[in-house]
Amino acid sequence: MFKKIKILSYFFKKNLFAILILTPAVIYLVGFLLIILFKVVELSLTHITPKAPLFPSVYNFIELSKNPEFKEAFFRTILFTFIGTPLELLIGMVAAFLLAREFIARGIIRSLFILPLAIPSIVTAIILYIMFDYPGGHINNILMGNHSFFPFKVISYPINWRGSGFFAILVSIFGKVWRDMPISMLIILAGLQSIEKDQYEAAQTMGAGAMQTFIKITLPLLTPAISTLLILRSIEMWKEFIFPFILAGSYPLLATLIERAYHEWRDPYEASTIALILLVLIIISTILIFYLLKWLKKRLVKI
Amino acid sequence: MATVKFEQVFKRFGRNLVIKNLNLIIKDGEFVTLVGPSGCGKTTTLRMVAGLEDITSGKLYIDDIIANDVPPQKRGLAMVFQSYALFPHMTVAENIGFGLKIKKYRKDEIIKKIKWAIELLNLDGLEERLPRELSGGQRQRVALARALVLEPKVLLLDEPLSNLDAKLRLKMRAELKRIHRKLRSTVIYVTHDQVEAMSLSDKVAIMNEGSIFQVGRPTDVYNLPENLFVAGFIGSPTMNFFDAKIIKKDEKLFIEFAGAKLLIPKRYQKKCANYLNKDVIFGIRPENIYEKRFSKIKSVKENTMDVIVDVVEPLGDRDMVEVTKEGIEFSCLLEPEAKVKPDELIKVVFDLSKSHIFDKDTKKNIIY
Repeated sequence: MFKKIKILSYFFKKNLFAILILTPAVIYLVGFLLIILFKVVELSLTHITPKAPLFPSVYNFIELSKNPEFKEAFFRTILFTFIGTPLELLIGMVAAFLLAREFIARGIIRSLFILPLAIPSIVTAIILYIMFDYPGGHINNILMGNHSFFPFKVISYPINWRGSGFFAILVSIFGKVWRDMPISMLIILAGLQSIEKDQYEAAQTMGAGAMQTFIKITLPLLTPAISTLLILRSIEMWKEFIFPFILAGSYPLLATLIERAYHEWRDPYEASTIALILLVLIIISTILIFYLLKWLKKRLVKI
Repeated sequence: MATVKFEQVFKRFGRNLVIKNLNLIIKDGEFVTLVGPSGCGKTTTLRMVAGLEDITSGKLYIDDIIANDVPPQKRGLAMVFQSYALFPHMTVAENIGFGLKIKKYRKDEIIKKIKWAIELLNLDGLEERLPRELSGGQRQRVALARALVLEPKVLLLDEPLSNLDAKLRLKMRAELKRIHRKLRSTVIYVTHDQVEAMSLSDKVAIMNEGSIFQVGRPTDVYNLPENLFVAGFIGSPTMNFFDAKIIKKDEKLFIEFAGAKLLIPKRYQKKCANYLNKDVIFGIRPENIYEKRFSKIKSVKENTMDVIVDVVEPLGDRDMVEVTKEGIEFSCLLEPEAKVKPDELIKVVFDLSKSHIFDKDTKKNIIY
């Protein structure tokens, strides 16, 4: 017994520095991830009956599968992610290609492109809320030709953007993509700058035109950057809360449905269930994207 | 195969004039080396041929067609880069076949050509490797194979051996020469290593500060450098230079330096007449100075000098000996059998028929 304590104290003395450094991370992981995850799993598997709570039970999952609101939210989330992620990648890529060239005041213009990140999401969301207001929002006014700088009457009566599920989701995608585009731009830009100039020139001397160079050299060499980006950004898309919460309040996604389940339905058990489903969805999608990219990379390179 | 011709070519980067009035003719099947210190414009010249750098003024002909504005894709050349620029995401075979695929060759033809290149450059068994799994020499050979399969009109090589270790460099040098003899394609080769330039090429163009200082066969530029720069650049160990004066004694012209008077050979006497009593630069290679007992030429008073040995560096077949005479240092390659020792007083014989005299102002070789 005494010997064991001695060995233990020796171990602590020897690794004191490492232990000290790791402690905050461990506390963080346990406090904010593990405990919460366990709690979520526990809540989602608990069925409250008049007598006593039942555990484990899949009652919450069955109830949820019958709930039309959940189904709608589920499909909206898929729509949001599947449009939003590629869009963010595409716009980030275009911006990166524009900024990768040498031109006057490149530094300043780069900073301008990164500016959206400096504005809190909630502010961006509220600005968009005002712009897409009904009936008197700026976008409606412009499209109706009420401003002299845009004298075209595209629509004759205002559109209730937030009143239609489709438009509400589109506007939230717009907000999300606009705000987070700089992140994908920076990742692609870093990827672009890691490609040596020599390789483009070698391809050129071997007869490759701009398009061939892009498809055969640039794109395959960007796949590491694109993979990182797609995985990171799709996770962000799945769990996006602020933009849909403000801009598509009547048309919840899974993330906003959690809030609704907790606050409006007053049902923490259902809320946890939705959260767990969302988590599983994210894990599955991440694995799928990973393998898809692996397969795609092989395709791109083959002679 | 093709000819390349530069006609009064200038190149400007912003305010810097990097190529000044370049005139050069490269014949079909010739192996021409551009050699010079770094920053002399040799790589820029090569990139202008490739079309990767535009020409500020003047004309570049490839096969007697003005190629100034022909895009690199259409020039039908191939280039090997100093960094090799292999595509990291493609295997060796894919790298070699890339250009062929771009040029829309049939698949069986591509495979045949890849096989040919792999055999030519001894890359068997490496077809499926990625560039990062290859050694430096293998990468270099892949880069060369990638260029050769295209059967380029002109093959451009930008310091292809500079990233290899000394032993491999010698091996690849021989390899390059063998391939050139076999394929007889026009090659433009850029290097800063004068030994490489001398050993590989049919013709050497020595460049400095954006202009060509001399063009000629390796032995010619070695034996008869046109100017001071070429004399100092070509040859290893480098030529000795002395501040000297031409004087007259008994109706004969002598060169005077370091307190010694040496007789200028008969066939140079006339050319030196204009420089009587003028300051010149006298140059002689270390291998053209002999120890008196081992001299290949007859030692007389007019070609012999007493010197004090300073440092002896045995090289094996020769001894590199630094000597001093009246505070002036120079080096000579002596026979090891002479067994010279530091601080010893020895007699050295100058083979003046192999010496050079340069104008102090124009730096031109007077006896050229």
